[in-house]
Amino acid sequence: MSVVSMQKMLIAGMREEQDAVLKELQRRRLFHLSKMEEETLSAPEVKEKLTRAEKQAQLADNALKLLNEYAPADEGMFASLKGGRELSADAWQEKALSLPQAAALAESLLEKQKGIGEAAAKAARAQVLLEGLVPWEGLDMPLNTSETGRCRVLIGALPGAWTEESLKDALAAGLPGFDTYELELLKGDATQTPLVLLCLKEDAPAVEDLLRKKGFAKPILVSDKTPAEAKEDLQFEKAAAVTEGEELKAAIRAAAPGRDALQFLYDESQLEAGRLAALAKTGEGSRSFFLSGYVPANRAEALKKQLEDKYTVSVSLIDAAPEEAVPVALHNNRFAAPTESVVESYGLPGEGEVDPTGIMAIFYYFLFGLMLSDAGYGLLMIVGCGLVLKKFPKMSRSTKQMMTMFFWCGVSTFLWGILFGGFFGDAIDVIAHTFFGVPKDVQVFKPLWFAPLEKPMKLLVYSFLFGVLHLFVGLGLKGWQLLKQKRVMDFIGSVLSWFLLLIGLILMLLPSDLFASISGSPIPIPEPVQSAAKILALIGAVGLLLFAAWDRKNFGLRLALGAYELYGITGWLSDVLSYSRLLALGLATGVIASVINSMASMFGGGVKGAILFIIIFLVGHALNMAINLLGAYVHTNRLQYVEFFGKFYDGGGEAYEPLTTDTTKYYHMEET
Amino acid sequence: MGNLLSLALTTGAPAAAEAAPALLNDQLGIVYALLGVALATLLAGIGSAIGVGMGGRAAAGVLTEKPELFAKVLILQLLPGTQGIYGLLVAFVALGKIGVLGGEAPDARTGLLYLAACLPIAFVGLLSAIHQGKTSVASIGLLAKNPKTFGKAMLLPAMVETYAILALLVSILTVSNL
Repeated sequence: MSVVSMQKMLIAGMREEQDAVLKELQRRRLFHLSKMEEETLSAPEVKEKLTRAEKQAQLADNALKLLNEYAPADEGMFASLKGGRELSADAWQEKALSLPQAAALAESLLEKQKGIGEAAAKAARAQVLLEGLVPWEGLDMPLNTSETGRCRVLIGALPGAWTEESLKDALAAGLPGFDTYELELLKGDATQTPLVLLCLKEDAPAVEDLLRKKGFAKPILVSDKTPAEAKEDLQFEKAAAVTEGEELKAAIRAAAPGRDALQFLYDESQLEAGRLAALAKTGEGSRSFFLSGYVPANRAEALKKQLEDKYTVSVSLIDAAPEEAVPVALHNNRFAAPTESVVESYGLPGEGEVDPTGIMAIFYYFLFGLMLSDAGYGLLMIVGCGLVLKKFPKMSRSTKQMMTMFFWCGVSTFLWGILFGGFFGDAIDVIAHTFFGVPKDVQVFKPLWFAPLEKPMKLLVYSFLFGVLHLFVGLGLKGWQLLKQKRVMDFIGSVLSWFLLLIGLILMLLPSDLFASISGSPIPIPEPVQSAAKILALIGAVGLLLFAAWDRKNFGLRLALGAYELYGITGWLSDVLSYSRLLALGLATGVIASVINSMASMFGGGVKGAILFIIIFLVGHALNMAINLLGAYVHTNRLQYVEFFGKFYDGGGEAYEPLTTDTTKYYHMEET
Repeated sequence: MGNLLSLALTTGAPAAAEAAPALLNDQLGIVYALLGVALATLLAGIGSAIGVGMGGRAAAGVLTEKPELFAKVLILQLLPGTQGIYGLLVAFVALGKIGVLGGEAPDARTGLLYLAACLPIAFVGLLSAIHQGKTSVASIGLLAKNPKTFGKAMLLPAMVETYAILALLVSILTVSNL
């Protein structure tokens, strides 16, 4: 368990080689660029380029989405685990030459998408007009006919259902003496009545006025063709638009072989954006550029040599100053490394803090297994994660870490399952009793240690014991950190005193009636030790009172702060009680698993019973495993984050994020 | 007929008055105990359903924009689901002791004790699941804005659960030791 030690690297070089050096650094995946304090002159220009690169990536992404919509790639369920296609750095360079074609392809695809949208809009418009024509189909004159020699022609529709009589009545009532007209009602429905009215020009304004008051509206489509002709035209227009859309879609489908090129365009644009983002953080003169950053110390010399051999650059390495905020990378063995992501998501070790991963990993697997504690589920996790790890060696680092972590959690779950006698709950016993005629009172699969449901208090006491152990290790780590920084007084005041007080209190508690009532039997402690325990606790309490805030000049304030620290004993109590979740979650898995088993065995033996048993067993245990896996994961994290880290760890470190080619999605540049 | 009835009433009454408490004592025990079982399952289950429901609605909203967060928001959605399981757990342990799935029917006093033992997980389960659901909703929002904060987003709702676990402990220890 350790934090990788870093060296500061300063690179100065010629402006012409800036891009090449950045590409080289990106490919080496080692250089963590630190931000320059002063604004650089080139920033606006670089930012513009950066925007362009990001737009290009967006373009490629959109084109790929389009392609996936019309010509889905055949990928399978585990596509995300496969990792990118390998490409050597040279092959990468060569492939980059065809980028302009890929960009043109992306543009043309998006152009086609636009075309599809337009064609669809055209077809929809024609459809709307066609529907608007329906009431006028019986009319045999152009829809825009407005007059003959002496007459005015009014074409339009009135809302609601009208008959010829009712309309004539309405006209007679509205315009007394108006009788020289010709009225023709077309076929309407309950919502509107289309009609044609022919009247003398001099009567027209008054008639029109009356009709308008009743809601008279002209047709949507006014053309110089008869409705039948107009309908034919529109149908042709619509068909043409549909065909156009189909042709464009076919053209997009035909571009499917260009998928690889688009994926490469996306990846390369991402890499370029990464380099440009780095560039925005560097300083440059008119002829030179300057980079400052961090490199893991053990590889710094090699990188310096590679750079100086290949380019006209000056590389200098300096040790980081103690107060400098150096980026943090964790380095752990294969057993602990998978839990690094757990630490990372809380926060990386800050100044003066140790990397807790190694010790945390042991507790992580231990507590996780205790909470899930079923040999069957453990076995499934081992097999599942093991298979995925073996089959997809190239999956991303974070996925791999997670899979490995659950693999080890599975091992622990399996072992705890054996200790507590759980294999898919009490499946072995239930199957033996139901299908193989073993008498009910014979227990086939016995726990190696004890069954939690029979002795819950025993497990509760052990849960607290594991909790105290976990918390003490946390406090010990705090002590180690303080001693490493040579803060001896702090160590005495806030670590040693706590140890004395807590150990004293625990020794006093063990022989008491209170403990006996919980555990069932008191633990006898010899009299001298009991007196010693009282003295220990007293020394601890006084130590906290006097030294927890030893650096305060005001003695009253010092005592008050000491008393406050002493009050923290309530926090210790609730921290230890918090470990009771180990019992609760452990019981939950076992009890619900047995419920599933007894439900499954309700149908008795025989073939029918066996089939129903298998169905209920599979569904039930899948559900139980999923929900308890979630519970164990969440609560293991909680015990680490709140109880364990709370004792010693703040995690304010900045992550080591080197300039890298691993941000790609489809291709993977081979490491050199 | 009327005479017979009055005869039966007059002769039967003293005996029934004596038998009634014994009868109640024998037969009401299981009723009380089952009431406790029902409350544990009902209230904790209702709480979880509300909590998971709230989480699910928030999660669906996030997924429209960021489908890649599915696994993470699902975990956050499911966090308030455990209270229902705890209620079920207490209920099953109790059922196994009161003569439904095993054991034998309790007398009235023990039945009431079972009822009392079930109350912590029933009520704490109901309320903590609802509040955990609300915290999950907030955490899902946090995750949507910054997917890197998953660890912290998960921790906030998990803090609420502590109290459900404490209630579960008291319930289950009491039920299994009665």
